[in-house]
Amino acid sequence: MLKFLFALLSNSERKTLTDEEVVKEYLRTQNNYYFEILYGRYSAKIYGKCLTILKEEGLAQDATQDVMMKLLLNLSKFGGKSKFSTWVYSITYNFCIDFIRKKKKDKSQYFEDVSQFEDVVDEVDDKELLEIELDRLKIIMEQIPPDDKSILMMKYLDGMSIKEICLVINKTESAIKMQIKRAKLKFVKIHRTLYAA
Amino acid sequence: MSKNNFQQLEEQMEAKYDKASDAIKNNVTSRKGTWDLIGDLFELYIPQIFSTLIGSNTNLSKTALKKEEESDSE
Repeated sequence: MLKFLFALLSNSERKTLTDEEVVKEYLRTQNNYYFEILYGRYSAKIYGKCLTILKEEGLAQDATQDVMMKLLLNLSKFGGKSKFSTWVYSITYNFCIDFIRKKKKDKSQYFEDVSQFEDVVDEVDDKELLEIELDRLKIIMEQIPPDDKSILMMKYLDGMSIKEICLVINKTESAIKMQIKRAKLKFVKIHRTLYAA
Repeated sequence: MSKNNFQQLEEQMEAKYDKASDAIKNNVTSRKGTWDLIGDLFELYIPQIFSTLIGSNTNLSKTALKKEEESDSE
């Protein structure tokens, strides 16, 4: 009976504590219980993002483990300037992008010239991206370079503001806006190439 | 932001997590255990190492002082 009450209590605490409160409590007590809460809240999301960017389940699994360890070891550096989720996702995106760069040892391919696309589409409507069929979205996302894929995920999946993306990627606002524009252009170009007519 | 297909895509990816969740959890738990152990060892032994170092240093300076006094008295 006592066990049941304790489980009930801890279950309600798990739900009511905000991420920031959990981090604070973990840092104060170093109690594994609080890390478990964060793990439960974020491990699947981190895995989903890693899988979308890295495309292989084995790599996503390894990346999720590494990101979770990175989070654990850097929890004390979370200053609360952004939402905890934004901080977690920034570590995830940066880890995946770095991983691919190291693997391919060729950064240049992610900064290819997209001026070739600019005559095809002037301005891309967000609606076009958001309402694209799920199967098509999946195929297009597999063909987009990781940098662009990540920035599109930050904007359209996580709903991050330009300022938040600046903090994640460590670039100026104008650079981020340009990168988003280029990523959208690539997205539409691939869409139109694959599904024209 | 209202629900969009990007979110649905991520939900599809997240659904694949169940398959890998046990392996990930085990690995993270064991790595965390190793870190905790290293932390505990540091916490336990670093102060002792310091106190030993300080103690031996104090002894050395005491011996040196004694020798000096002895040579002065001679």
